Amino acid sequence: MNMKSTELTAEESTNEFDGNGFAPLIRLAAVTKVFLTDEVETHALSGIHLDIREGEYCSIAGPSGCGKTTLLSILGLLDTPSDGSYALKGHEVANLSFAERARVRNREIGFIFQSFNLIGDLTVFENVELPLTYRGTSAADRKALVTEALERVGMAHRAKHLPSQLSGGQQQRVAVARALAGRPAILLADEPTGNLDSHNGEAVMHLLRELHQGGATICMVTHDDRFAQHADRTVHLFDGRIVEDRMAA
Amino acid sequence: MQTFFQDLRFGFRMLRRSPGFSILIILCLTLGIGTNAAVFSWIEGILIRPYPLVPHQDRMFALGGTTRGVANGNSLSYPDFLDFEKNSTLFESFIVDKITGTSLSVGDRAERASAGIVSANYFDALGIKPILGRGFRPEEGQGRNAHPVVVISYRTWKDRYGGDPNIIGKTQYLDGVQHTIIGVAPEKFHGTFVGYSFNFWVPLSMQETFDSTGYHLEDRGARWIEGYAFLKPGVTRQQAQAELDSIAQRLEKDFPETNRGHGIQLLPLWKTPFNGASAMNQTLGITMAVVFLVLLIACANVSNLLLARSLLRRHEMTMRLALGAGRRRLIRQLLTEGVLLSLIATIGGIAVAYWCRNALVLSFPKPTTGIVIDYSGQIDWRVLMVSAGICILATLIFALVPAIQASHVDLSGALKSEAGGVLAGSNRSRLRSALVLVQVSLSFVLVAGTGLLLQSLNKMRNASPGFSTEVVATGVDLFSAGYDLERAKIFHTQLLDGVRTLPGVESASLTRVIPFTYTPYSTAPIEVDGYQPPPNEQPTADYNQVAEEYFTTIGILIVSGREFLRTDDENAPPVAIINETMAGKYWPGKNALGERLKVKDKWMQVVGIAKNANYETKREPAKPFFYVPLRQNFAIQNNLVIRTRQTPGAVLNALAPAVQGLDANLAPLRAYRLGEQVDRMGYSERLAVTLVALFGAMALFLAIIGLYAVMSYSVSQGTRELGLRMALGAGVKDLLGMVLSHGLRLMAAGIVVGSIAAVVLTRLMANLLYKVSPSDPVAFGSALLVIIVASLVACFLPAWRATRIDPVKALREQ
Repeated sequence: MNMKSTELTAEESTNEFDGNGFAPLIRLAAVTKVFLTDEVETHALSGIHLDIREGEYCSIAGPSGCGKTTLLSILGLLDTPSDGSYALKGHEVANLSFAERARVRNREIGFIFQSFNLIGDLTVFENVELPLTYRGTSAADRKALVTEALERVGMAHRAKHLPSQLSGGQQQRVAVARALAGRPAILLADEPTGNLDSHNGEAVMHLLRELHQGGATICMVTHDDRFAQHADRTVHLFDGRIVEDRMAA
Repeated sequence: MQTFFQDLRFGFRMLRRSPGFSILIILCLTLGIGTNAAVFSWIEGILIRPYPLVPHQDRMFALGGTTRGVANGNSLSYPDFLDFEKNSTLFESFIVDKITGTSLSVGDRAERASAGIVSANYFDALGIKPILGRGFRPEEGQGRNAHPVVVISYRTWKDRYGGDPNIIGKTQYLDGVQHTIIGVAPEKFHGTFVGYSFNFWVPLSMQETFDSTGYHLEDRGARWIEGYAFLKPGVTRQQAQAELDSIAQRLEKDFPETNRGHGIQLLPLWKTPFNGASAMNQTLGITMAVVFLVLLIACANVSNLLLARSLLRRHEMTMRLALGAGRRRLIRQLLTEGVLLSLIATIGGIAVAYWCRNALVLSFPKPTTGIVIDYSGQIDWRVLMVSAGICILATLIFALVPAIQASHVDLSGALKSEAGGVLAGSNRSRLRSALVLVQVSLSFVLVAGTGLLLQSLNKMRNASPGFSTEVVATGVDLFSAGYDLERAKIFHTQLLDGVRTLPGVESASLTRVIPFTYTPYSTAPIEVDGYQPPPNEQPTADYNQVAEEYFTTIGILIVSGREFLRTDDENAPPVAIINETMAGKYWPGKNALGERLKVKDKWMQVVGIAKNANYETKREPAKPFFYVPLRQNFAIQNNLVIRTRQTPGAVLNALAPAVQGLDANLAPLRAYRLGEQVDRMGYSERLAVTLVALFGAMALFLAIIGLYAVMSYSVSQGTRELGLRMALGAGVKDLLGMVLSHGLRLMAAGIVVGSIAAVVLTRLMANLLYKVSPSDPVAFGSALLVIIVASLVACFLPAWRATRIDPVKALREQ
């Protein structure tokens, strides 16, 4: 498996270190996001400064409409900031082209959505395999990576099933496996328990915890304080600003 | 009632809310209904019920001659006609209608007029009552040239005689004989010759006056009669045919010399062999099939659009049900919407059909001055209703889909599933994909068919008819001017000498029949020295009477022997020139030069063998044909053929003084290049190409709309999936590839199915093709290319739109 060449490498990075001597995996500096609708400006994010280190488990919490999802979209390169800078692995990514963003997304970021977003026509295996197909990974490598990801979430035995044959909790596990399969630099989870009952919600949180313990960097958006507590660090947003950034006790 | 108006209001609002969708559906339905109604109105007006004022056309049949049971394209002799009429019991009446023509002088030019030589019972049997005067009396059909009376058409009465109310009893010179006008036909009666609107009708007794080939009323060997028979009510065609067969057998026994192997066939009007119906029926048959395919494509399109919209309205329907609407109420609302669409489209379809009903005449080449081409359609309400019915049914069925879907829905599940985590599969679009596949297949068939016809037309255009198409033809109507044979002989000899001295003229000759015209060649039973025909064969061949230098002038090569000389006149031994096919058939393996053949009791010696040529159409098979010297078989009416570099107009200008120098009362007829007439005879092929290409383009346009609609809807339905794929790292290329590949897969499947269908269906048009195989690879290859390009165009826009999706918005979509 030659993953090296497709990732942002240390050589490409700007190598800025934080106060603790760690290079932050993600660095947002003075990021703002303004939406213009019917000539009305809506400031979704204002002056966001945020560093996320490698191996960190960070949750972004706050009430509905505070800008959590917008922030996650910018972190996931699905959206671009109106102002400010965004460095991923020390590489400035705020103003990349459509194609470059797609490439970085594919290689560095794993998404877990609230509504799983599995494709109904594809089997569990094919759903997990999808990001790898955009990377041009060979079939043998894809098979190995998908199998490994499914085993990590305990869904390897359901590889040939269609999503509609799975429960909600199982569907979200498959979505997590899809996010993991490409060995991304960071997992971005947008309300991963939002569509699950409390039992399945807890199970998914437990799975994320396990992944973190295995070394994964995770950034999770949630409005539920119970789930926010699973993370090592909680960033509170209000009206598009960070109002609190607290490490777990 | 209140809810009906509420539904109606809502229906209109829905149409207005998505005008593009509404216009598209109405356009598809209008085209489907309109084209079908228009083509069927042509079929009705030209083939099925071509004579609007004639009642009981279902009992009217054309009479066609047969040789040993096979249609021979010839007609029957007048003595035979009388015997059939006299001896049959199952027929109400027999009528004769033989097309003829004359020249009417207009200033210093002569103008052609078309006419019918008809039996005396013609108007009575057809149930046509003249608006002024009367039809013919029984006695006016008898006696050689004994009754110079004429019934004129309404148009002739109006145009030529200014609608003179006292026209009856006035006289008019026709072909040199003063005729008394005895009647004026009704306005909508144009005669019984599909394609031509006749100017006048004369009784059979005047045949000799209007037929330059002589008197035939007592000649059983001269098969020139064209006519129809009306069956008695309740008699089937088979019974009537059986009776005619038994009469034909008796005639064969009684008159073996002329009737051996000859019979008569009853043909439905649309198969009439001697008028425009025969030229049009195959073209219209294919056009009918094509527009039916257009209708199917239109229905598939409408179904597709409605199905796609049903997906968008699923939530609306579920919500309505959740809010307490009954299913019946939903169905009524959707029905109202469907009916609204169909009604608007049906009105549009009627308008299209109405505008197109006379359109066929527009595509006909400009006829000779004075001749009126008549290919009018009649709106057939039954067909209009069927076309509209099919479209309305398709619209209603698919308009109801949202209600049907809603009636199977578990409401709580449905509302929950709106927020489900699994993106919709493609099952729901299978039906739509199948409909697109059908459209692409049908379009492929039509495009391939158009390609075949275009190739065929091209080949036919480039094929030589076997003579020079640059030769100019003209003539002087001596027949109408009342010349007798002796005067005509002197006139033509002097005229020919004069023409040969005109500047720019390389050579000139006379011929009784110009190739590729409706004037029939002479035909006669022949006897060939040394050839023993099989017992049931009566050797017959067509021939033409031509003067010296004919072959040089017209460009037909004499491959052996010589061409006619001026000295081949009535004082010289009778001679003939035969074509290669005739030489091969009757003198196989030996040189026909110097051999003899007997025509009309006269033995003539073969002095030359001419290269084969086409005589009437380019598609006719090679047939035995011979030429006799005009000076040994002089006719009053002949045509001039002139090899010259001058234009026809210049020839006419130079010729007019020459003609008037010989006789101040005469004027030359229109001059034209033979190529013009050759083109005119290819009308039905050109019309078929035009119609199939037109409707094929329409079908292709509809299929592109269908493909575009499916692709657009699948993109809009798959927005979330596309957003997800973007989030997972799909680039522009991946997204374009994904959407395009979906469309192109449909296209590929459509092409495969279409190719198979085309291979089968194009065989049906083999008769229309000229030297082109029905599975010609060039036509199929071109069709493939056209469909691929069209499909790419249809798929590209939705695919490009897919790459412009905002993944954040897409993923938020529920």
